[in-house]
Amino acid sequence: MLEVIDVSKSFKERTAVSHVNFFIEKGEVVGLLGPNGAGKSTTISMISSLVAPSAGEIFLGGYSVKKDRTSIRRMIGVVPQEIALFQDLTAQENLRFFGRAYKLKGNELQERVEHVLEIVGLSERADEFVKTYSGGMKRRLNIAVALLHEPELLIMDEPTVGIDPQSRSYILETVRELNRTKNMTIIYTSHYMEEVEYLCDRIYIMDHGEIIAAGSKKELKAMLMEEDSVVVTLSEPAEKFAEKLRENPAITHIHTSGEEAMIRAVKDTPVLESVIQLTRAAGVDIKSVEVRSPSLEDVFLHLTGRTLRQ
Amino acid sequence: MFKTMLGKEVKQLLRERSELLTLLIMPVILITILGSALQNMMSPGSAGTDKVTTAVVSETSQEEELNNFADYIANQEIPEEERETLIEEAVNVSVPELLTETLNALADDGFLVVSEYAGGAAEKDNYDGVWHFEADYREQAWKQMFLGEERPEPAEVEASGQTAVIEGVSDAFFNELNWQKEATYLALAEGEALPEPIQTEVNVEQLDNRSVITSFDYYTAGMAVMFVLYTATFLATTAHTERKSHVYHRLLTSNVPMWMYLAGKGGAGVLLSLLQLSLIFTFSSLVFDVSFQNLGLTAVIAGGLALTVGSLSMLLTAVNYRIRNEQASALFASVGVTILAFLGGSFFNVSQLSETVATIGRILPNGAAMQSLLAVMGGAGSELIYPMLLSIIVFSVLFAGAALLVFPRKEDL
Repeated sequence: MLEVIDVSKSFKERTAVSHVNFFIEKGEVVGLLGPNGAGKSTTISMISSLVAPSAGEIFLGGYSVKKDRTSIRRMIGVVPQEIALFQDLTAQENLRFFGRAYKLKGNELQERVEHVLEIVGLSERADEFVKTYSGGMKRRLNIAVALLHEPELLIMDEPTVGIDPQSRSYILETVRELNRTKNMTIIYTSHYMEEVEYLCDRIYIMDHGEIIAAGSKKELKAMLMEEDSVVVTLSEPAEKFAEKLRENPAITHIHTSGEEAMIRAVKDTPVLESVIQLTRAAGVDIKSVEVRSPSLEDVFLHLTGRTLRQ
Repeated sequence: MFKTMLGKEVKQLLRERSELLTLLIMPVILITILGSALQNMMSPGSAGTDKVTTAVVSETSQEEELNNFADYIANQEIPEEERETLIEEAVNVSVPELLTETLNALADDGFLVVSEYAGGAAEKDNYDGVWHFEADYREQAWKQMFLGEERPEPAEVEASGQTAVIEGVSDAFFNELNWQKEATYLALAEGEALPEPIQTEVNVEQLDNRSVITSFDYYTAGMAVMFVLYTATFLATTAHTERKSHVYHRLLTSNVPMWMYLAGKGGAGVLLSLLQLSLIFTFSSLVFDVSFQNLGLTAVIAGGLALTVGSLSMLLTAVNYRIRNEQASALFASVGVTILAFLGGSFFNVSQLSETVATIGRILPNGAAMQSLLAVMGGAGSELIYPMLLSIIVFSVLFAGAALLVFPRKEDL
């Protein structure tokens, strides 16, 4: 359904996106995972036809983003990272305004407005001003606007930024339901790996404007199958021991944060023993030890040496 | 979509109390304060911003009347030597010439423009004031001055504008003339009775059906043309918020073209300005008895000004988008409006300061609209609003054209 072919985008001296390639099949939920500034939003803007690629091509349903902008825009619904709503209007007024922008009118407009309000659970508060809504409600209305014209491709750019866990969970469920019941194709960008992990069939990991890994959750995690992950919490800052641990050839990666050290080592090597020996020698207590299976966060760490939120 | 955008802007404005305060309450308060405070300072007719144009019309020439006077005194029992002195003196106290001299002195100071008509008639409509001296006025005045005969009928003064100025100049001139005459008599002919003053009152005749402009008229026009400019800044500021919150992006992705968005801002500017002007005018009309004389012409002026505000809204929106902040509209609201209002004469008649400033003010759309409103309030016909229409068309086209040029294409957003 969507093909992004060798797309790059430069703003003056800065390259925001470099030689990005990916595809999305109809009915898929695909995640774009990456830290802030990785190039996710620029990629989204290019797919949305808001920013023209400096190089490469993007096709949606056979239409070129460069040549058939109007057709492309009819097919997509964009949920921007920002709350793109009129704060002084009610939810109903906002939806009617954008509905008319999508050329909906009369009964059809009213039916669609009621329907999307129902989807995002705001029917009861449709006549309240947006400025009186909580952050989560605004986010939900932000999604509702993008659903008004029943798009084939829903593009969601960080739709859960800055909201409470309950609202986040509601939004994630809504996205799942849209995909399940309407077979809607969805691009979901986030730097919350747990959201992408929960929602997406396939994931593209971006960093510094490039796609550095792609595949299903299983495929990505398989990159780390040859390694074990251990998280050790110490009674003192972990960085003190990191240097000595690095001397152990079985340890492939160490990431410290405060008293916590995340250690990856070659599978089935006695890495925990080394840690215990080192801490004993230094007179430091181990508070807890967790051996865990690899997550997308670990994959990102493995690929970039940084966490998603760094 | 255009209608939807207009409706949205109106709703947003009605829900913005601080903006409503600026756009509607502030002008009404200022009209009330300034109109009341300057009621006595601004006497009828002094509201205009033009130089006062004057004409002095004598039906006969001085020479002709001097000959008649010489013939008259030749038949009187006056010694030859004294007759010659009287003839010489008569030339020095010829009232139309003295008045012309006084007016010329004022013209040299830049206050007015003087034209002289000897033995002819001035086109009354072309002047703010016309002093008209009958065929034998000089002769009668000399007879009264030198021979103590009956004083002549007062010279007729026809004022079509700047009534207070014309009246003031007349009063000052004739008072001075009589005073000097009295002083001469007291010095030369002590003991003799003083002759009557030649003109103790000025008959000011209003021409046509023009009304005098009151301070409330003046400030209704002044504040309306000033505060209507804030409508443009309001719209440009909301546009900036729409850019920041990506509402504009959302409109683009729903296939609303860029020009439609700008046109929506322009249309909203026109609509909101018309509403604002209507409310201010209605208030002034009901509370301060401000009369617009010709509602059709007033509507044309309001429509023209609203059109300019609409195109200005587009331009400020475009500049805000181009520079990616709201400094353009903020700067215009704080400095631009004040400068335009000052030049346009919203606060006071700037022609008193400088004719150049006044000319610039009359070219600006707000100044041109204000002049036209004052002219219509004074009962003028449609011909007086043509310059304003030209100014408005030129500025509207310039603003709208510049807006389209300045508004960034999608990649710059």
